[in-house]
Amino acid sequence: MPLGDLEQLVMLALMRLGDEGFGAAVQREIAERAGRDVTLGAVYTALTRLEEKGYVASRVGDPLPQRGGRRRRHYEVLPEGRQAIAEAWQAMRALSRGLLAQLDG
Amino acid sequence: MTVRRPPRLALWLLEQRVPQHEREYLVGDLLEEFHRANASPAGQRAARRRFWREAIAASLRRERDHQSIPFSRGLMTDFGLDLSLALRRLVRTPGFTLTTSLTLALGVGAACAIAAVAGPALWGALPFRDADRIVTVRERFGDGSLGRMGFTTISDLRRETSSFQALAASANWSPTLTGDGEAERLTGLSVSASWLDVMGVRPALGRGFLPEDDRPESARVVMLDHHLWQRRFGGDSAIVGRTIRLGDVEHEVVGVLPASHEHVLAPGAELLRPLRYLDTLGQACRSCRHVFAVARIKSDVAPATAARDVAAAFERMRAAYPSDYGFNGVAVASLRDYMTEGVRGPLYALLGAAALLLFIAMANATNLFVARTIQRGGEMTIRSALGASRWRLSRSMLIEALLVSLLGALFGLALAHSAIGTLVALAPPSLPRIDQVRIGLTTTLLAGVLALALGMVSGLLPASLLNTKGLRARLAASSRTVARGGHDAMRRGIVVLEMALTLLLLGGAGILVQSVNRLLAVDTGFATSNRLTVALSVGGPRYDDDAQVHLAWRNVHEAVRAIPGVVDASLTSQLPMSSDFDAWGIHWEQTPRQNAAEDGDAFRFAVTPDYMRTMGLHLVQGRFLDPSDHAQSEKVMVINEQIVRRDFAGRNPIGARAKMGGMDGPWRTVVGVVKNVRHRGLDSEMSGQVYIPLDQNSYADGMVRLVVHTTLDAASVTPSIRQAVGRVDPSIPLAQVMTLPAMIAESTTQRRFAQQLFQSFALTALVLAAIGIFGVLSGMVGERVREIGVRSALGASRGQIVGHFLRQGGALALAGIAIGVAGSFLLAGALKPLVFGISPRDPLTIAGVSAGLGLVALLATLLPAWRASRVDAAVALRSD
Repeated sequence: MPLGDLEQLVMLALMRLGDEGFGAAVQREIAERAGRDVTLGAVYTALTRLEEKGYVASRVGDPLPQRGGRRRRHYEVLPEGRQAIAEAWQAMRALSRGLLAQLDG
Repeated sequence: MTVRRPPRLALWLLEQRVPQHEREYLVGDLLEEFHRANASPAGQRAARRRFWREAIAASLRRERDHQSIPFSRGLMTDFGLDLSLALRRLVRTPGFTLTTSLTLALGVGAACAIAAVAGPALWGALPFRDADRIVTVRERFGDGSLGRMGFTTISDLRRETSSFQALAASANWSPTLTGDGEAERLTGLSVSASWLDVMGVRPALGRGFLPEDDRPESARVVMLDHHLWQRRFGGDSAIVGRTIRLGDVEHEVVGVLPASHEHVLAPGAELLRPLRYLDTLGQACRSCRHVFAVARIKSDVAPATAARDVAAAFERMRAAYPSDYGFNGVAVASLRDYMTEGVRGPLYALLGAAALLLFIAMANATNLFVARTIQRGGEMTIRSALGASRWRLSRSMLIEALLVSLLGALFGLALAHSAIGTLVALAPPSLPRIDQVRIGLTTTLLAGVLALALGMVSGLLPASLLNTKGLRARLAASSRTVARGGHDAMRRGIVVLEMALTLLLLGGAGILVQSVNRLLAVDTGFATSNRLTVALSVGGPRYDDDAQVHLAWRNVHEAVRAIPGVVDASLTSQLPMSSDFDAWGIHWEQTPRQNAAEDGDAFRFAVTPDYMRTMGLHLVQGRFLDPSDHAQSEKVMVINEQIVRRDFAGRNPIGARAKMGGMDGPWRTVVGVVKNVRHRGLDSEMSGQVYIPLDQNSYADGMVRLVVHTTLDAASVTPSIRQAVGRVDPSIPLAQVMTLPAMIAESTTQRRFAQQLFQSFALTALVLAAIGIFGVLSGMVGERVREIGVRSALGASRGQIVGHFLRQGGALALAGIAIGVAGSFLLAGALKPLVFGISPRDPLTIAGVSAGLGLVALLATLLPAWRASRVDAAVALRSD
């Protein structure tokens, strides 16, 4: 299954975060690294979809006081997800071969 | 440091809008981020902003929608879709659309028209600076009536009170404008110099009056009203400084009033002149009550304080001059209250009637929408089964109702616009500010608000019946089996309400029609057929000599009597029912009182001896005046029965002697008694009346009314009268030419106006109610065809089926009538100011209109009931 633009960004952010991956952290990572300002709602929508596709898995943590007693949901990238992002990345690379000069320009 | 708290509303929105499976984590993340944020004010603001951004994004996001359509586009397309669907549905059913919007138009039109007529008087801004600080000050007499004051009273109040910025006096003035063109009698006002300050009016041209203009010896100056300036002087801006001739006396025009000025205190006034009174003048006396006081309250004084101040000052004067004031008091009323005295009650009654009609129209429209909702049941069922939310279905109905009511409001405005001319023509001249009545911005706004309200009610009430569960259940079951749902109860309720409101209007109309009939049947005490009257006046230095005035009137009298076709003609100082008001104290020689101010009043009629014959008065005792009662003979008078009853208690009045007005006049001997005439109006109390010979009056009346009894019609004899008067003196203007029947009709316009409006509202309501009950029963018959089929298959006769539906309709009508009767007993008080000679709760009238309404309801029920009886059982049962 192909990955959408935001889905790719979320997956990459999750991979960078390793064990620290949850909604707000992903949002911050995307903002800091990619300069894209996305809403938390959009991040969660993407995460939900990625989970439905079987690319990421989540586990629910313990209630935390700084969250008003709410739990945190941690996400990690599954091997299928790594595979999908690798394929997407290869497709991008294959297509952009020879264009790098123009793209950087 | 204060505890930082996330925006509560944003938090609430998020809790509402974020899908449940994400909610805990998303909101938790947000809170965590919020608390992590920099504590600096800028950081705080950023954190709050982020919170809000999420909340807004979440509320715009649509559940299960992965395409994330921006909110505005999504909602607007939905709305646009609903709008265009509603438009298409309405165009496809022009019958429904037109009927419903025209029904609403009747209500909106009536409400807008009446609001437009009543508005300028009741709530429209008055064209004076700080108009709420302007008050009238009047003397209150023993019988509770309010009236004018003597000039000295006003001077004393000015000195003795501290609440007023200015206190001005005004007196009526009827100048005759001569010069270029025909002599014209105008309405004017003589005012104190401070009058313009009191009213807060600045001249548009020239200057106002100065204190030095307001003395008996001052040069004569006038100010023109804008209309007179336009009408007679062509709006010539060089008018200031010119002189005009008023009653043969030169007056210098010093200023022109602005076009926006309205003479709410003296409607029709076109000229102002200084009053030029001093306390020492004879006509300034305390009991010479012909001056009207108007004042401006200081801006830091409350109106109630001013009223107490005036009352205390008046009390001191009363103690000092008991013979002048008797038991009189003083009354302070705001300009608005004074202006709307006597019309406030009727106007509110009319507004109430229009509101009733509006409610009835709304009830009918709502019922039509309920019927439409039932018809659209199938469509609704399918849409709801396909996942349309209740809100979505209601919204489509609401849009439809709003469109229809908007159309209705437009029709209503058009209706009001076309009716307003007729209304103004029918309206009594006593209606204040009638020249300001128009369908303007306020009325249009009112129509808009009404459209919105009507649309909300007639759209949301039927929508409240939508029960998505019920609709889905209907999909499973046969739609025909749902015979009686909530809609049935609602429609019945609406019809009952409609009947009740209609009965209120009908009852009101019935009472008013009878009031007017009884009023018109009142015996005026004088003959009116083939009589006409003309007001005449003389003025100018030539008539300073009383003998000249008497001579002029004698010549006019003879000249008019000589006109062919004139049966009788006479002159009188005042005429009944003409709004003339000239009452004097009457002091009997036999029954002297310590305080002459306590003696009874009588209207003084200074007449030519043939007045009794011309007016068809009835002689009861003695003789009427005759030509032998001339200036030099014994002073005589004829009194009416009311005085005999009041002052003589069974004793013979013939030969009794009395003085009129002050005690310095001559004794007059009673020579005869005549029957009473209604003077102030058909509905007025009987008053004392005294007739004295014109020639024996203690002064010459400069203004008289000519009464002519003629076999010709008024239009053809008026030119002859004009010529005859013109031959005596061309400077005598003819004013207020009117037949006596027309004059009496005019005195009843206010009541007839209210009655005609009530009557037309009531008839409209009756038609709407009949349509309403007919519609509901037709709907019931239509929906219950199968049940009727079963009944007749089981052996019910046609009669039984007709009876069944008649009972249904009858029950509705009876319930409505019962509520209406109760309501009319409760609300009857509102009609009181309009009712004459009948109780506003007259049981006979209420019973009569109830029966009438019942009959109409019965007729409206018969057709659907008959149709039900024609249902063919076989067809009905097959139809499912």
